[in-house]
Amino acid sequence: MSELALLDERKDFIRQKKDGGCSGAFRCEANSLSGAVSQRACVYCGARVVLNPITDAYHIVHGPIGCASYTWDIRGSLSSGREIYRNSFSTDLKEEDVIFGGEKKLEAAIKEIADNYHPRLIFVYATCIVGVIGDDIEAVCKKMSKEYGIRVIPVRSPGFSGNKAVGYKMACNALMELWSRMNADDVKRSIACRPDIIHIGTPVSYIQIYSKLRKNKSWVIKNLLECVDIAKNKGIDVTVGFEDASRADIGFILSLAKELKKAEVDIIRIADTVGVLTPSRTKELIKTLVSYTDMGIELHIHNDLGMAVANSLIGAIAGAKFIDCTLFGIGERTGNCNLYDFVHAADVIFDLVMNKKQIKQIEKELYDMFKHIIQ
Amino acid sequence: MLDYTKKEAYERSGLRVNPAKTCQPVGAMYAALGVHACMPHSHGSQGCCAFHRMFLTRHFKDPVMAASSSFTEGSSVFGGGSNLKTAVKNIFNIYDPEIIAVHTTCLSETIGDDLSALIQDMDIPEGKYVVHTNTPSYKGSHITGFSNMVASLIQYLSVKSRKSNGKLALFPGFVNPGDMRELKRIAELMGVAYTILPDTSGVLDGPMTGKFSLYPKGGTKVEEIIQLGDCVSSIAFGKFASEAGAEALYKKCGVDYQLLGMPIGVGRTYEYILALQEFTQEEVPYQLEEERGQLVDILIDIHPYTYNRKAAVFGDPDTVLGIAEFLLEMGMIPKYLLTGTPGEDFEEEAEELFAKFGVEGCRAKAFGDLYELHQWIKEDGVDLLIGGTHGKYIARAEDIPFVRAGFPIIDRYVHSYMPLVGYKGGMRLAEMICNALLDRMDRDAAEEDFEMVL
Repeated sequence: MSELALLDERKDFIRQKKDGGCSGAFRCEANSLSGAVSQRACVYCGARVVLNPITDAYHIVHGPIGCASYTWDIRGSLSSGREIYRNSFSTDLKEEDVIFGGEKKLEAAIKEIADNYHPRLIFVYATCIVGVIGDDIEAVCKKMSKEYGIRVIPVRSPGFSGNKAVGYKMACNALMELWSRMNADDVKRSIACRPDIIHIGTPVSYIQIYSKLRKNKSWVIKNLLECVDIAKNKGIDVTVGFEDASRADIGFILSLAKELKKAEVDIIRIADTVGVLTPSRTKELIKTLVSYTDMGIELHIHNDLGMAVANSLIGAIAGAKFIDCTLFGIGERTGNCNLYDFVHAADVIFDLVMNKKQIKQIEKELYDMFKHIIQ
Repeated sequence: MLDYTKKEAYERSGLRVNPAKTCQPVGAMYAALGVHACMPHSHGSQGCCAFHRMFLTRHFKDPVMAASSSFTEGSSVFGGGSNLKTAVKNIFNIYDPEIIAVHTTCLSETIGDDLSALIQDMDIPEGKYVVHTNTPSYKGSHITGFSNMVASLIQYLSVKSRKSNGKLALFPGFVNPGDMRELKRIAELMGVAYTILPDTSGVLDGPMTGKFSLYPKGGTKVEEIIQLGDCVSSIAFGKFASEAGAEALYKKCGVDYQLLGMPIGVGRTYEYILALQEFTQEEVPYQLEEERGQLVDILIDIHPYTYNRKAAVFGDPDTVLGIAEFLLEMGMIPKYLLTGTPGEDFEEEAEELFAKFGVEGCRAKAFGDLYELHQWIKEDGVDLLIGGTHGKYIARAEDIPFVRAGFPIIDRYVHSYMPLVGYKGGMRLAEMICNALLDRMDRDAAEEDFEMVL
């Protein structure tokens, strides 16, 4: 086996099997030397390859025809059913578009698909030339998203902005955008059921935002307001649930509430998701909220420390207008506030439309219905 | 398959779906490969070069070498001049070609790199050449790129000395090596001395020798391109792919040219042979006469299965028109003709063809795409589909027999070694068409109709 003649700059990129072994680190992820006969591909290529197997999405390539035609059917998928991804979509930019900007054409392209095919999802890929002429594909995508109520996601992948590995990253970023905004999709599905009210829940404690969602506060505010917006635009009332509010920073809760009030949300639901509230803390929390926000407060307490009824009662006295209760106190872990017990205690303070006798009757009927299963 | 296509036509303003063309640079790369010991160079991002090489390799099933300027964000801001300088230096050092043929990409065109200036200022080794052509991908199609490269090679290199070389210049157009071999063979049979530009035979259809050659034996030599200026006259096949080259030679060196259609079928091949005869003033040898007779005999033999059958043809404009004319000669109806390349001339020439053969109800469109073709077929079907690989989805969705002819054909082998031009090419095309129709007959025949003799 003769010695390979190698360029000095390239020695680290190549491993040759010698003396029965082939070890050592590989260098990769660099650009080709100018003038090399290289098979290295570009950022756009990397992005396209990663996202193509999302088979029921429409992949629109914003650029001259070449980029789309070379990546037509570039990667298969063993998924069955949807074959849309096997077509090739391009805005086929011409000279006028390069000179005067291609945004209008991109809009027209998205419209064409949205009007005729009612897609769930559209990806828009930027190519080299889009990067240079400065088309604002994010703005176009956002506009079209709003207009059609569908997901239009830009993929920031002009070919010269790096190498193929950067393309993989850009594709993943686009995917993250898709998943993290799934709430918007849920909202839309809810809208399709024609409710009068949509309740949107979001974690508000830092521990849940950062470690469960892996997001941050501004993301929560932005995302929440967007979801509220979607529902409100369809004329549906919205209530918002603050999950894990008992462990959240009161300042953050208040600022969220303020934003929601501006968005015409009238009721917020405070959840003691992990069941750690005490009566005095509950009183303090609800009093603060009622005085600072002037919104309807709903209270959702868990019974981990055996204080669900007590906390709910104190919360009601402090001004919460809506209390979540369950029959038999059934709920996660040790359960929620028991309806019978709550009515029993609250009857002397509030004017209730049902009394504890009626609750007992319902409990009995329910029990009779299910006792053969419970036994 | 392709359930996305809607039957009813709707207004299409912004979207190209399933293109019937690709961008300029790959055409320029192909033309450059037809020059001996030439390294094509893509002045743009890495991706362009990789894609174009891949596209060509998939069609020819042979390795394609080309270098790239490897643009980065920096180059896009400050210009690609230094990339090109480094590239040229590296290419001559490492790969040592005789000539580097640079083509631009949409990126380098948009940032406004002035390649003539860059190349003029360059240090080019003695006896070596660097040429360039402008091929922005947002104009025209790969055919335009091919045409531009040929024209630029002539503009850079060809000179007129005081003595004629007695040769005929041939511009074959965007055809396979198999076609170029056939054009050369006919010229040799007629005793014509020629220079053909480009010549990818022996480059992309070379033999397996057990050794890899960076520069295979084939290709038009640089000296030959220089001496094109001394040719007596030239023939350009295919307006879209070849007129620019012939025009450039005429403007620069006063070489008169004849613009002929792609020599597919009886009439157009005959036109080529007559042009050669005019050049040599010699008789046409019996061998060619015999081939013509054979083709005509074949067309008569198969006509019971081909006559009045409707076909849709898509692909490159010159090739589509050539095939369409052949179909008309066969007595078939070229119902739909579609090319992705823009140009009203295509539609005009198609209408002239329809009028010449007296067929009605046929449609031709330039700057179209395969989605539109699929819609036409859904509305009113055809018996046969002819074109490149990308038609296979339509063929499967509509269950139509499919003949692969044109570019790119990336899911079959051997085709690039074989001609579509000349009488031999006509025989091959007739065989493919007839076989496709008869295979379909056999496939769908009831037991009692499954014939032994057809």
